[in-house]
Amino acid sequence: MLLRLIKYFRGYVEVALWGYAPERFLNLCSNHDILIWDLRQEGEVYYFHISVEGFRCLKPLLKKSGTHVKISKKNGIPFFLFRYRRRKILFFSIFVCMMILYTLSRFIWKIDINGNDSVTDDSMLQFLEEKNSSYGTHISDIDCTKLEEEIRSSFKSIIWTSVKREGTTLTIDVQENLVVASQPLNAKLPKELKEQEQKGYDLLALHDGTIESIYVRKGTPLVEQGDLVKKGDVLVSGALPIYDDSGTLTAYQYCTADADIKLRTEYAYQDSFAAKHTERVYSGRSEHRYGFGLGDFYIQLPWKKTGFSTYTVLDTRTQVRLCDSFYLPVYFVRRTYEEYGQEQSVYTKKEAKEHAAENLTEFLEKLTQKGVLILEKHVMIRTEKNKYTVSGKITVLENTFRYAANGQVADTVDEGNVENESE
Amino acid sequence: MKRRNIFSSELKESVVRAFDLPPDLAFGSVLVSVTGQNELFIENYRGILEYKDEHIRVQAKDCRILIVGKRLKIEYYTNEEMKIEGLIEQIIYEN
Repeated sequence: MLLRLIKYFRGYVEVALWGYAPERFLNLCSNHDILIWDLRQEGEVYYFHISVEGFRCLKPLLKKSGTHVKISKKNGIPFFLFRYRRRKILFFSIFVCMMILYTLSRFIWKIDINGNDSVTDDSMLQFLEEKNSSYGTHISDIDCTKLEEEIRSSFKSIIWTSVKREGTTLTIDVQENLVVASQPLNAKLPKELKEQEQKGYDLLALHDGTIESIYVRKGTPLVEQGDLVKKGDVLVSGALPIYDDSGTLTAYQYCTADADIKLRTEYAYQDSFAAKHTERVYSGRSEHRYGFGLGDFYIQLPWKKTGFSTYTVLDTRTQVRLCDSFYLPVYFVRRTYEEYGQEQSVYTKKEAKEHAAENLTEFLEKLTQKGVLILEKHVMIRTEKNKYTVSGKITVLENTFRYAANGQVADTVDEGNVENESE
Repeated sequence: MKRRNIFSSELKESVVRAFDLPPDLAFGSVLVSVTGQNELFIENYRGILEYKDEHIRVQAKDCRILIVGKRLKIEYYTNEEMKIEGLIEQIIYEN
């Protein structure tokens, strides 16, 4: 196969041979190391293929063996180019096409993310966008090792990453920590705060509630178990008081407070929906349309209209690629139109209850995802005129607080002193 | 010519047998390998004596090989090796 390709690129001719001693001619050819191939006989005439350089050396051999040759066919790139040499637009467009392909091959057009479970593809893509490594990035701007490190430091749940680029594909393999971290997601020090870490940080209550338990790792606790706290109260101060031998306060040393605080708090739950509602009823009729996507653009292939008045649209996008890892920023899109009609209906009491329960479960799930433990829930459903109102209280145990630069405590000590102390 | 006499054919044969040398190297014998009925390789030959659609005669060191068949075609043809394609019916050694 490869040999044929090389032969095609260098060009070869099919030659008709006749005369006194063709066999002698063949032997002479092999003795002079002139390769001939695809030799066949038709009547008195022999046909064979020979390279262009080989053909130029044939003259003395022909004389010796008393045979004659005639070129019957020319094959290969050199002859092709010569034959179409006047078609300038053809060559120009081939050149332009090559340039476009080459240019496209210098950018990332496909990102594969594998192994992620709690970190969504979207958040990873957003992260890449922030790091200027998303779709359309120049290949030379992608630093795989640096990306690996940044992913590991930005996503706490990811413990192993591998970033590799192949062709126009960026493959990101991650391994997540299977043991769920006891620290809630929002309890880590925000990055922008970390960078300007010259003073300490306090922990502030996010909601009103009762302190159920408090374990301080770093900082001075200002509340005790059982205390009632208000939103915004300082729970743990980042200022560590330093006393001299006589017991008088001399200075403060600042640190970023760190603690496990369990706060028992209540969330109000409010939900209402009309008894009357419109429902989508799918007619079951659907039609496909095909087109191409170029980035955000969509080019519909000409086709007649669907004729549906109300419908949902579902796009299935397949990325076009030249070979395994050479993806292009072009999508083949199959657009599915599904027709539906709108129907008015009224919730029965049972249906309303189910609907309310559904909404509540959704709300609770969102809370649980934030790392909140649900203790109790008291929810009532009331029927008003054409309307259902759901309200209640949800008692939870949460482990959240927010960071604030400390400054409320001991404003008097200025920074220079603190630095001297810590040295 | 003297060398020839020292390595007389009998002596050479026994040396080849004693050292288990491959005979195609030692004697320059022709090698014919056939795949099915359609493909045939010949190595260690001197040249083509005759080439027709229905038979090919090849000269080897100490014999001639006649290949009889139909639609015989020489796929390629170099100093060392040739490949024949077509329907092969007979392979005949002529001395």
